Amino acid sequence: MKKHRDARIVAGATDLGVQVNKGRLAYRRLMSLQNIAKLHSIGESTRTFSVGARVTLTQLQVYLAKHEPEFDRMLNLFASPQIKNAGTLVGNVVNASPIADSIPFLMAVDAVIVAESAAGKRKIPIANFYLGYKKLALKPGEFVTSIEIPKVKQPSKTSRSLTKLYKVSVRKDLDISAVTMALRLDVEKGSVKEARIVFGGVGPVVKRLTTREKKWRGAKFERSLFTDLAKEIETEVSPIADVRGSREYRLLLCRNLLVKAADEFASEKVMPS
Amino acid sequence: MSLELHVTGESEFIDDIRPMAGELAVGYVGSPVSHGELQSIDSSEALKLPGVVGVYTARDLHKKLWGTIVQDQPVVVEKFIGYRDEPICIVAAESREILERARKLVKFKIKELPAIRDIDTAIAKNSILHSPTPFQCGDVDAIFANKKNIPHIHRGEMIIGGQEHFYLESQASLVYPVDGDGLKVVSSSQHPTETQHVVAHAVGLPFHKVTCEVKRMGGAFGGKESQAAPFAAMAAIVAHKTGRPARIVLTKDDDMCVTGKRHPFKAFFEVAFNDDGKLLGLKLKLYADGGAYTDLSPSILDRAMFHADGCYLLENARIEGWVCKTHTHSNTAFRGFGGPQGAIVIESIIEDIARILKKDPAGIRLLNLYDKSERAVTPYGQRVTNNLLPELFAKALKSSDYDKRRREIVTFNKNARGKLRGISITGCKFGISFTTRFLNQGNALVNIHRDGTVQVSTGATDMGQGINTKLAIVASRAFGIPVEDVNVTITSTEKNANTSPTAASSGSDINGAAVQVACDKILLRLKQVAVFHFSGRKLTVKEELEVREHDLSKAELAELENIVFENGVARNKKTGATIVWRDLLSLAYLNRISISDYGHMKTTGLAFDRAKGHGDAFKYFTPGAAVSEVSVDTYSGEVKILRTDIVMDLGRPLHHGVDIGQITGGFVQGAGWMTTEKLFYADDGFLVSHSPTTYKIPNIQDTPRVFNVSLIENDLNEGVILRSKAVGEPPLLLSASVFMAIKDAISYRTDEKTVALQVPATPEEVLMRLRPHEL
Repeated sequence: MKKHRDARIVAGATDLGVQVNKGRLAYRRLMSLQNIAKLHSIGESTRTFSVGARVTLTQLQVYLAKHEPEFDRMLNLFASPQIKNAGTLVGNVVNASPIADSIPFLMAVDAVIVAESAAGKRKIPIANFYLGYKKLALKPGEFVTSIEIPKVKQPSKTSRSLTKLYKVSVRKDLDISAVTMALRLDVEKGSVKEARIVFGGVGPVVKRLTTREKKWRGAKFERSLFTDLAKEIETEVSPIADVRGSREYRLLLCRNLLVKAADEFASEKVMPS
Repeated sequence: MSLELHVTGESEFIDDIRPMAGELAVGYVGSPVSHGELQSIDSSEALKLPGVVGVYTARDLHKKLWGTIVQDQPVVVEKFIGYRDEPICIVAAESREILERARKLVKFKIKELPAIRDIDTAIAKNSILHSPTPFQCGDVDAIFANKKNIPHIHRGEMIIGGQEHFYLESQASLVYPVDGDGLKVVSSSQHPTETQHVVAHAVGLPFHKVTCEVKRMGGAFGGKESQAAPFAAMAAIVAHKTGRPARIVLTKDDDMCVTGKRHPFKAFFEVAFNDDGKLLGLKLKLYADGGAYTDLSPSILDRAMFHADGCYLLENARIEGWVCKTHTHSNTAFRGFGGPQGAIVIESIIEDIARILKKDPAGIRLLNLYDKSERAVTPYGQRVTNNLLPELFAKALKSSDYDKRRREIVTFNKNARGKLRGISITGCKFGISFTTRFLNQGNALVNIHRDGTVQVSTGATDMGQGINTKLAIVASRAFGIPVEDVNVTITSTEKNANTSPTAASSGSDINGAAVQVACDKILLRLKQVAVFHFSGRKLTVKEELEVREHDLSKAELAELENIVFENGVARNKKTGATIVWRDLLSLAYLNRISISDYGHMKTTGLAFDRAKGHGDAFKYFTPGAAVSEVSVDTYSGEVKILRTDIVMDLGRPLHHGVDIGQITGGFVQGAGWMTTEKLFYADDGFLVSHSPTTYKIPNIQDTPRVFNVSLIENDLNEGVILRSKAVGEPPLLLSASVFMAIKDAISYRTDEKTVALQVPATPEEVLMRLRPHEL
């Protein structure tokens, strides 16, 4: 990396391969991560999973299925087995599409990006990783070697951690999303202790509603939280119209996904209906 | 027959043919505007690039225009640009990499003109390519004039989107010079004869100097009926000018931008009906978006009008149609050929009538279904004979448990939050024959070899639909030999000239019948040889075994009737005497009797009068019925097909497996058109959804979760090869059941009187029509 600043790093090549096939990219220098053994493994400490840059989505899905059932379910819609056998989580993150399906989840769980260069190792919270459309907080010579995913806290009698991941696309399975939503709520004694509200497909980068999250903290965990946000959704996100949907449709989706989350929390009896 | 090669990936397509020595890569440069006047082409930068061999324009073409019905489409633009991405010039280079770089270097000076981009604008500006004589029956004006006697009138319009063919093999041709000025064209074409002709015209050669061959296509679906030809002509120009082999293989993106699609339609309807839901009168206006040039649009509009009755009796109707000229790619044949666009309107109308009357739509359909009486006559005056529609509908309703599931859906939709279900039965009654009469002919060459194996060739092209299997079955049954002993060889204009496209579901009807004719001619001779052999007569040196093809007496013919061919022998039914197939062939050959022949067939009984819009347009109909149930997500509008039950009448199928494959494939392809396949254009006419990234055909998860297909087998279809029925297009129409089931589901959560759902019912289209969730 130090010697070849112009090199483009390749992991699963599920996007780069297409770009090359279509003649849009003619890289002089590609650098594969294939032969770096440690990048192929998932590490685990008491508090986090560490996902190496060459860990495929299939590997990850199998490993995390028990811990993050919502992520597991979403990965079934995400891509075909063939693509998931090649594509990687880190690749999805650094490719930085505003509608990359893994990013809302990673933002909702406060994942941490581990970047390395000849100068050393650095950790970047994913919330600070995207500076603009396809613009990453990486320094020259730096590349992402792993992503740390914090483990879900074990539920107790009075507290639990709740996750919702939604992905809506023209074709239900194996399609690029029109809108995605990720929610992670820590609920204690009927109140929201910590909230993450994330939308994809509503702007140039995946959007976390940090102001709204602050409002939710300490609030009573009830339906009005969701419907109030739904009513004011236009103040929070500003989607554009494109091939995957009109602005009106995307706004309606954001609104409806909040209603859906409230409906599901109610029917799961974790929230008063 | 193609199975093993396809599954192992060994089937050879145009792009797989090994490069020939000195071969050139050919491409085109497309227009950056939808409508304009071409003022100049600057290819100087491209020509400076090492490896660029030439840039060719309309001036290099002998005949500049092509077109199946009207020759109005330029191979490359001469003066006026008709649509965005329309080819303006042809580039030839030493490699594809150089070709791609060169294509970006050609510059145009264009005076841009205002473009018509949709049907509404075309109607407003009277931009019409074609309008046929309307179909009329009964007295529709009298019905609507006497308003007092009509309990209900419903008016509306329906927008039906286009569809990309999405064949996996793009348009592709390899052309190389043979013997001086001759050309061999190897093309991915449904219509080798037309490709031969368009190439010959473009380069200025007589037809006998140009041969077109088609081994197979990686899918076509109508997209290679007319539109394979101009790309072959581009490669031909290069081969002709340079004397070198030239190959054009479009990328998927280019192919999607430049080629025509299924015609978008807009329908305006006015329907009168009584309290029971009986149709009393229909006034229908159909507008098809033909795109920039005529192509096959008039025939496609015809077929839409022919299918506007669906499966239902219209005693008073006026059906009118127009092809609009717009500045988009020239729309073309696509499985169903306008039929689906016509039939879906009446199915949608019936769904509306049921909603207005608060009745089950299945009951309304049964009430109006063509019956077995003499009243079963279409608006264009053709009687629906051998009509199994009543049986097909009854079986589909019963085997799908429709009534019980309807009750369950009503309950489910009352209680469920977040999901709605809908169910519907729709039918098809697809007219079989080209509506252009002269196309209903075919020819076949059958060569028997002395080891007993047989080579068959016809004008039919295999695009994955299994025509080669069916043709082999016809010959193997005729000669009583194993199907493996029949090889259906490459389709070539050298063996079979003046052929019709493999289209209109007619591939096996026309070509199978031609094979049968050729086989029968050989059999007539072989039977005489067998009779001679069984007689035990010996010939002297001066005698020769003679067979006759004409003027056989009744007694002679009766004797020949006793000879049957089965299990590899010819047998006398009366005496039981046999001769082994191969021995019989040797005997014939050694006595200088031909064991090859050529057969020609034409479809009889066609009598449609275009000027009157009246008559028998079709040899017969292929009918069917389908019940589909869908689940609609009320938060997102996403749709899933839960279950589909299809029942069809395919007569006595030539090959059960091939036909079931056609039914399931056609249905799913139609379901994609009904739901997720949306053509999305930018304001400047650029097709944004021009790749699999943005254009969504169904994948395996989109097939019905439960999918039951059955046939009502019968021997009613006399006069058609082995009493089979055509199957390619009809099942696509049954995908309307998916659309109607979505309409049905929405009707449980809407404040509108009827659900004015448009095709395709994308999640957005669905969600915007649902009553929103309360906050």
